Amino acid sequence: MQASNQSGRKLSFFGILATILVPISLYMAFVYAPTEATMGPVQRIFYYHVATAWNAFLFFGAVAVCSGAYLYTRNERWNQAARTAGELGVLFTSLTLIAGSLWARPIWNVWWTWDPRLTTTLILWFIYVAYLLIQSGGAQSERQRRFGAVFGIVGFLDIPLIHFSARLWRSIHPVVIQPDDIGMPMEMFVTMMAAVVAFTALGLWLWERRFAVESLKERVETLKDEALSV
Amino acid sequence: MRAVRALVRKDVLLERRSWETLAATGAFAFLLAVMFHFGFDIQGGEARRFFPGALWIALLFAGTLGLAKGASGDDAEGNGRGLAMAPIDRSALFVGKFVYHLMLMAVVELVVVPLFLAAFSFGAVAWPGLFILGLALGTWGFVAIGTLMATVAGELKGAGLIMPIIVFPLLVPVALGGVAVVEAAVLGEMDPRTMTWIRLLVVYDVLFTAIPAMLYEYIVEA
Repeated sequence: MQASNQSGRKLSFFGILATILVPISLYMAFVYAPTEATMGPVQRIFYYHVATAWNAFLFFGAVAVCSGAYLYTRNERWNQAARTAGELGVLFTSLTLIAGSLWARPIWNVWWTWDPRLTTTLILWFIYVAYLLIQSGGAQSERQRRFGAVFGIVGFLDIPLIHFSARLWRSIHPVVIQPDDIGMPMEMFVTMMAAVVAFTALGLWLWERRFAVESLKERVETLKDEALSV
Repeated sequence: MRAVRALVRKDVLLERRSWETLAATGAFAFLLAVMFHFGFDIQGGEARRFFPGALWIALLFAGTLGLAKGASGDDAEGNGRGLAMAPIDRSALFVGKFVYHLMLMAVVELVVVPLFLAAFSFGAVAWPGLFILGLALGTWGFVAIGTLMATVAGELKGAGLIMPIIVFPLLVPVALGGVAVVEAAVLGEMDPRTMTWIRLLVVYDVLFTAIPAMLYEYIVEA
């Protein structure tokens, strides 16, 4: 996922996949899938809500794995992969929270509720914003990168405990709304899966591009150093 | 073990010269009790209801600043570098710092908790044993994560601001569990969930003491 595609003139595998799949998933979500009986058209947010949430978890998993690999190998590429995955994770978590909020307003009549899943997702967002904060700054020191990696791992391991505690906390109150209690016809399920696959391809493509940009940046730095030292 | 003792002794000695961290942390925590009363105008029966959350927020806020302060001072005279080069196990560095922070928080709590009880004055805590257990388990978890993150934040620009942002999200289980157990102790009502909270806190404490101890070698590399 580097050198060969750095020029950006050619579409990579994920680029082609995303270009094909995203329009298909759009068609499926807006035309193919039936309109939900009680919620109406707004329910179509669901397909992208699930897809972005899936991507968010995917990238946060990637942060942890790449961080571990970075600490183990000390190869700068792993750190770049982890950091760019963290950026995309925050992007997709933000999209998940925003789309979820837009959907919640007409259906649950609130913008936000402290449902365990919502709570966990919000805390997740905070954790990875903090991760980016540690990793931020162009002239990162090697220590900063190591700290980022350690935080990426610790944060990821904390997520199950956070989710568990959010569930335990919320069970103090009766659960009024069960967001997962939606019986789904087959067409809806297929559309959802199509959106998930399309967004996975889109996410991986963005990751690849972002990674390429970072590699180019690094090359510019190296060239600058070389030019200055002559 | 000897290394840990020496490290703890070093930090205790440093603190005893100025009492700076202790005084600032304790004063800030107690000040928060006053601010809570101004902010929410807590009266009569409400005090008991507000107390667990207010106490934990104060301890976590003040504790976070206290831990961050300790970390930023550590490198001032090349101390951190010297320690990183010392021929001792990296996890000893973590355990030493952890034990010292635990002692620091224990002293702060010894002073602040009675002051909080006086400020909220709702009478006696129903179950003192459970109360102390809840405080101890929560403090342990906070100090474990806080020690690791204070070292991380100490290296970054604007450590004082970054510290709470990187620590609080990770502390969600401690905040929720600590409040739940202290609440049960204060009200004298054993909820079926209280035992689960205690177990969750124990798991958190064990996990986030072991993991930072293992990862610490990547933090203190010179």
